[in-house]
Amino acid sequence: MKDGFIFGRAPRRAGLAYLDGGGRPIVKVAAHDAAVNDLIWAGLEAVHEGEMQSKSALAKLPKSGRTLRTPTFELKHGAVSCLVEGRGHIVACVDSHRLIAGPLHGQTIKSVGGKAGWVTMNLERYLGHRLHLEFIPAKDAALSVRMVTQGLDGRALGEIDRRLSAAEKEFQAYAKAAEALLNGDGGEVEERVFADFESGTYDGWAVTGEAFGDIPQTLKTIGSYQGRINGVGTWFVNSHNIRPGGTTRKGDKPTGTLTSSEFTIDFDSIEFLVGGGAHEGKTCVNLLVDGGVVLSATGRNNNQMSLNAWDVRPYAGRKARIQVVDNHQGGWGNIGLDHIVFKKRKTGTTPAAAEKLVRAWQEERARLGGEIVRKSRVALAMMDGSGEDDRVLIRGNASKPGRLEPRHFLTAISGDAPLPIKAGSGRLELAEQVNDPANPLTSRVIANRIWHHLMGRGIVPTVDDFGVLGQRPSHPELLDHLATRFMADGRSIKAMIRYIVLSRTYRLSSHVNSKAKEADPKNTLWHHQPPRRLQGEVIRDSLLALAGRLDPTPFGPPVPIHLTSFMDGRGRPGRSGPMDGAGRRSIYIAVRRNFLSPFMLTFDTPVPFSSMGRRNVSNVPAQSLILLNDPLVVELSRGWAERALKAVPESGADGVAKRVAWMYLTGFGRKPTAKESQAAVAFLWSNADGRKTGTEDVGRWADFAHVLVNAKEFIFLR
Amino acid sequence: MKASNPNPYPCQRLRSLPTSRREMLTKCVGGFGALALAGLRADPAFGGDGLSQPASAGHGPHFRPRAKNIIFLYMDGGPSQVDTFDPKPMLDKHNGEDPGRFFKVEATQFNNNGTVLASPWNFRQYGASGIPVSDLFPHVSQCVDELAVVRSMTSGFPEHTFANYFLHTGSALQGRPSMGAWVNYGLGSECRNLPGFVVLNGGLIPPGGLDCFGSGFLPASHQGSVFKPSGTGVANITPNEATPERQRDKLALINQLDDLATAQFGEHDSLESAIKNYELAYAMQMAVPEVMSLTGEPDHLRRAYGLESKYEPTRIYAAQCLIARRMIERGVRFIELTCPKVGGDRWDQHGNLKSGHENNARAVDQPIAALLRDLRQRGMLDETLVVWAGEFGRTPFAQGRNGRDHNQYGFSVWLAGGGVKPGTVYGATDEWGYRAVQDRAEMHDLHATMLHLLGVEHTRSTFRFSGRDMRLTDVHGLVIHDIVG
Repeated sequence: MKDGFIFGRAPRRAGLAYLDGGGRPIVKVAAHDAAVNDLIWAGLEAVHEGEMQSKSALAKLPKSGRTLRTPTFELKHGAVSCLVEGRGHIVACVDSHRLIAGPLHGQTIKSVGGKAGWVTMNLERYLGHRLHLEFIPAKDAALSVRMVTQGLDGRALGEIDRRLSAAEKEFQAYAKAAEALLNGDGGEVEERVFADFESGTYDGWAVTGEAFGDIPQTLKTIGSYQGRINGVGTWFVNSHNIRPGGTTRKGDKPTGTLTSSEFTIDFDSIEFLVGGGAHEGKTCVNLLVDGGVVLSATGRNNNQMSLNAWDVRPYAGRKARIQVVDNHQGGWGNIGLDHIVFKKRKTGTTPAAAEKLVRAWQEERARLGGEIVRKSRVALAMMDGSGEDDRVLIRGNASKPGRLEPRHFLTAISGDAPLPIKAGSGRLELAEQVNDPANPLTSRVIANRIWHHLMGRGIVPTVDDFGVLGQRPSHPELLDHLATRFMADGRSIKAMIRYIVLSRTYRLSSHVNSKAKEADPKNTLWHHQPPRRLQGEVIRDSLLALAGRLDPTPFGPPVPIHLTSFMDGRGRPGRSGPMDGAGRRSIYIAVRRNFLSPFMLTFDTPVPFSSMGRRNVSNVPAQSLILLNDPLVVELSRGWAERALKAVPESGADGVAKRVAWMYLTGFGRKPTAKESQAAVAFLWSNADGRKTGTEDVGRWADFAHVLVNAKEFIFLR
Repeated sequence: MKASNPNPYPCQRLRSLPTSRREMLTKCVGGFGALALAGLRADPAFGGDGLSQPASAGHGPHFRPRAKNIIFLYMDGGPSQVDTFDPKPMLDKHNGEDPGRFFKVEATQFNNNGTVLASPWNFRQYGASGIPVSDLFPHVSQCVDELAVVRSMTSGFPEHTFANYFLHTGSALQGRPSMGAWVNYGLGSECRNLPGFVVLNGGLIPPGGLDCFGSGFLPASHQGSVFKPSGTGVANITPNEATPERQRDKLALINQLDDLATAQFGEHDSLESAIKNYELAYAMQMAVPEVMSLTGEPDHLRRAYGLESKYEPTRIYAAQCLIARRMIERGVRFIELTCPKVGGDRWDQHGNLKSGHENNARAVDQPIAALLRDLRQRGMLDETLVVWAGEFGRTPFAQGRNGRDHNQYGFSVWLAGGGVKPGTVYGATDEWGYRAVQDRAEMHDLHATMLHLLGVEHTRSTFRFSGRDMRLTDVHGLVIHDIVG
């Protein structure tokens, strides 16, 4: 099972031809069966919101859309071995649980690096549990998986190797022949060693500075701590220079360059060994064409040299030099070089038809590769897994399992027959049934929820329960009308919201007609629109918006919760977030189970332990206390007042009334009545506390803003 | 609105009978939860008119209550039964021997099980009842004739978080309503200016966190309000205005604007309730500091509780106990006390049993005894149920050399006052104090009994959620009638 495309539709079978490589891919032919990720998907980038205090070793793995999963199996032996090649990680998931945060259960993650071979995980402590493995290639690297076994020792694994290799022989011969035919090279490459320094001199090279000394080095002249260097022959270039007068410590200090004689590029590629520092432009080997650097390679902060290749066909016919640079004096301020080879592929050995075929293939592949959207936002979802039927638990008691119950849809709708599951858990089939256009429930449920959120009461008031214990719809025909319209509008939630808010019913006033009230005291028939208390998040966001401090930026990592001295206990975060949550919308405030926002709790934001389609709407004095005394509310009210003073700068009696009107408009979306305006102006002119206040007194306006926040209209929608 | 009227607290118990529906609603829930119902009852999703449905708060007692309030003394970490209220001579006799020779030793959390470990403390019999108590509790032992000791309590879970949820909510899973929330849901609070469910936090919120005090699917107004046992106790009680006049001045304008808006948009219950809340909030600004202030308590009581103890944790717990009594006087329905920090671990002695248990006992012993006496002297103990319990007990054999691991198979809790049969011992563990063998009790039974003493039939106090009529005791629970007086 996979959570993306990079492993293809199926494992790569022996004998299958595939394109491999970067700039100019060549055809290869698989000699054995394996699941392999295709590097055409290299560069995939998962965009996510960032995280706080994540100590998860898993989070660092580039797993989104790049995971290959085994079926679930029972762990009968402690050792699980995988025959793999390439770079990446293997993660063991025990009973579907992944390691969330280290260091416990570190043995469930194993890194894979390099050569083909067996990687064994010691999972003894999970014996008897059910397990699956996930294979995650390193970023832009290939990982191939051939086999997974459990309970085999080294000898048995060796025996498998022997048999695999015997079985593979004929495929290898076939693969070699096929590759030769299709690539036309068959190993027929012309090679010319340009420089290997085996003369023990820099003949033909120009030296500047001290880093490279007068002659190349041998294993005897470099520090023994540098190791075997990995050169070819006896002599090589190495600018970690501790020759006469140098010390180990100062070996990186000298700088200098080494430049080759000029040559004409009449070949395809340059291959050479390079080692030493990874400082781009400072410890490097450059290709100079017409005096300018066109290609450059550095070491990898490793004394051992490794092979590097440049495709130089773009510079064919140009004059060039190779230049070695050591211009870094600190750590890893050295560069190593050896065995420069010019390579040229012999032409004219590929049958024209094969060449045409391969070229068409390459072009098509390049075209497809160009269509890949490599950057995408991560959506949380559970990766599909092996199907497992669960048992009915007697009286809900997990320690009293009853009979097995095959997975199926709701009995009332489709009976007890098991779901026809083709592969995997059956989630896909469940989703298909949920989304089946012939299933009226789904669109009824969502239409009802949208109605509930807008109107304050669902057509089926028990929005989470359409079953026998739920309540019956007050307007069944309306519900079906909305549900069918929702389907017809392409299931657009936005269109449904628009449809409802433009309805006469939504726009009803909250005035109650006494006769209607008598006939329908519970307003079941919607003869008026009762005021609805705003949600905690909305109240806070409104305050921020009025104070001009709301940051409307969507997405991003959460803001830590602000901790007051009253929020104490185990696991109290070391750092408190800012009181105003950095102005971010309330949905971006971090949710910490034991340190939930007191403001949100008081205004009925649900405790996040399960989904809740319908919130409680309580009406308690603690809400009044927060709006009266919470320092953030007071601060934001003042911010609103300051904005009012700026927005309506005039003073005098008329100015005060204008400013009051501005605040009513921004806060309540309406103008004040004459009486309201009078009351407000009187308050603002009055000398509270016997203080002499002018109409430009911020404190008094802050008081007034605070009054408006505490007026019921602020937290009720009508 | 009477905002300009200096508030006539302290919040008295309501004496007159409710006369209108509104008044009745106000009075039968009350506290921070007052009027939560006004919204809910009008809401068909919570059962139409609410009066005929169980899915509304404040269904009231089902029969004559023995207790009105509960003080729950939560002993964090799991005190050892064989070192407190359940003496086992066999441990002395076989001290240092392999327990596997005598009984099957189940795997424990740390599974580093040592030999049989005798209690480091002597047990003595006290009072007329002669109930034995270890030397850990020199003060509580003097009140032993008030106690009903249940020696056969069990828990389903040997791990703190699960066991705490189980003890507090009747379910080992996170997110269920706490017993304090259930009690308030069932009976409401008699106090209008204080929450009906208060947690006086000595410093240690139990493992499992605030979910131990949550309201789960019950209305949020029933959730526990966590108070610090010092200062104002909770946030947002102190007015931000410089002078009371200035706040009243603002409240007057709020009131005026609300009235004008009502005239314009019509009257609605929810709005009226919200307006009413300002009256209560205003009163609470005075009621909360008043209940938190211990300066008016006489010196002899302050000393008796341990407010002047040399040991800081004792002083903290003394304040918690004294504030608890003051809250009970004002009608707070359910109060939980969490333990103060004692330097080392709470009652969770996986090692160093002796010093650890001694410190924890020292913190709570004197204040608890003073609380029981004080309640008795004021004639309040008969109406106040005091429950002392940890989430589980400890093993009679050692963990390592000198500790004890978690043991859910049998441990001791006690109840006092509130209609409990005083001077009783109920149930028994085996001769090692390892497993309950006689009259085995479950957490559900403890919950059923607590509700019973409050006059609530636990099978009938339900709330419809997720398609089920949920209750504190789920599908379990038997009232332990033998400890009911």
